[in-house]
Amino acid sequence: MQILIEDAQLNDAKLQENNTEINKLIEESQKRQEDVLRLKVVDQDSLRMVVQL
Amino acid sequence: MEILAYSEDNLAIALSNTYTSSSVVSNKNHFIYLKDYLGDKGLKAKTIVIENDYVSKDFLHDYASYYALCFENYPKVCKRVHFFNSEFSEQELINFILDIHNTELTSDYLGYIVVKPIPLTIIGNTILKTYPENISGPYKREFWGIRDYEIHLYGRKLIVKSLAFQEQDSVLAACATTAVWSMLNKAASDYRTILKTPSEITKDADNISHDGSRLFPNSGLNLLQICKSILNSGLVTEVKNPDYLIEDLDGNEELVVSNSYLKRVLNAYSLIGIPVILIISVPSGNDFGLHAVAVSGFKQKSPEHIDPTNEISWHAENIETIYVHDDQWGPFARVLFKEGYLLQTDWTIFDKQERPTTVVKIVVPVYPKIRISYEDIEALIIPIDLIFTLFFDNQIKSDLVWDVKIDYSENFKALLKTSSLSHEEKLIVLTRSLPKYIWVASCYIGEFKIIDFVFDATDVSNGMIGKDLICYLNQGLRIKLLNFLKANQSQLELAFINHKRLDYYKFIIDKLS
Repeated sequence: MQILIEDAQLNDAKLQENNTEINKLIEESQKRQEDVLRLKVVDQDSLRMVVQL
Repeated sequence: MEILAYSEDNLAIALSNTYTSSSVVSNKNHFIYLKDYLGDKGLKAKTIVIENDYVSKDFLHDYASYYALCFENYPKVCKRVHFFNSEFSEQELINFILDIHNTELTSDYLGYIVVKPIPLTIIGNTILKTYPENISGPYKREFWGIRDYEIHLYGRKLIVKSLAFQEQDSVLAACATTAVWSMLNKAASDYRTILKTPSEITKDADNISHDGSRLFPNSGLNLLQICKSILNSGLVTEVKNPDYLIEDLDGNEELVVSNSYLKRVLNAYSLIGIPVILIISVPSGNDFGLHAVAVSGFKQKSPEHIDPTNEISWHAENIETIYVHDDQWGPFARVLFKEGYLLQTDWTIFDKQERPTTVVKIVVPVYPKIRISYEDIEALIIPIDLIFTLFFDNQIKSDLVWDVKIDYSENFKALLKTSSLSHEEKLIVLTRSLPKYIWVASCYIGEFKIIDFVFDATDVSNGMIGKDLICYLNQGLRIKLLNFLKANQSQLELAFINHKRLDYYKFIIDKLS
């Protein structure tokens, strides 16, 4: 099955060092990982929420 | 034994009892729901069979715990109302009962509702067929939280795939108890989990009520009590926090679960097959109230083309509808996704102002040996997606789409046998020792799967949980990816947060080599 576009040019060489766009994507990726892991931590107050309907 | 042609009036009569007339039944939420579910838009019931003097184990326990001690002389036996999607006479039913070779009505059987002999909260143990799984178009219904029930009707054995439902009686059980009870009905098909009656579940939650008053009549459970009752049945719980900050009309901030996160969590735990409990905020009177429902399935599209983006795309986003056991409406009630964090439930549809429903917490019951949660895996996929996105650099026809699920390793291996891998490649994976529970993160481009990451679901989250990587790319692309990873290691390994950096980048390179 064809997954690449026609005339695709995949580059396996080294990316440009200190590329601000890539650095920004890396920072965003790290922040998202931390945000996702925080979803596991339940605040104590919410444990007392009463489900009563 | 009594036979009635199916009609809304006859349904109300069949569900009534000494304490609750058919006109009272017709005004209940359950009747409004069930007449649609059993009617022409749903299971298309044609005949009702009423079985009197039915002994229900669940009601018997509740009876012994509470109703036997009332001054009022409540009966201890119920009636069971059966539904068929064909028309037949009493003589034809008798022929079916007497002749074991007569299978005419077997496939027409839709299930039953037990009617309890108490005031108003009459809907007892209910086993009804689901909506059909195969539907036209790209969608498919997947009821992963159901099991086979053997039903004995006058000596004939009938099988129905379903999940048990019942209405809370507001005495021995509130909504949270009945949601836990439905969930345990499926989980208890595994021998380590104990199926308990509603009164036992409420007793397991605590000695006294959340407000310090008596446990029975029960006025609801808090989140901690819900988790405790599940723990006492042999499972553990993962509580998922809301991720979406909203502001109400008065400017107060509140966190709710976004639809995207809800879909990802439900998709992730679906293959384990234990119904997931949602704590939802629903319109109630002039305000909102908290309610618990058990999710047992969803309607989802197959992987398909999405234009490439820099954002992560999830297969879970293809979920369109979820099916919940809502003890105040009925079994397999539809919940539709609206914008952002808004849901449409029957609570919304029948609210005069059509105020939306929101999810405030997700309680995922799992087997105790499962220690790695979905969030641990998503946190690993985020940097891997970035690395792949930079490698493919918009040269792919469709976006990278991730499907993250926990599964039994034996199921994963069985599925791998049908893959496009060579016999040699299959044999390497099939003969490799894997833990019983594994997380599998599959990456697709359009309909084509390019990679499976396999993680140990029984380890510790700070450990190196990567166990395997199965690459479906051709040799040329695989080598290019490997060269790209090696050439850019110092820069791209920074995409992982600190302690995972070296282990996981090296893991990908090693497995691709």
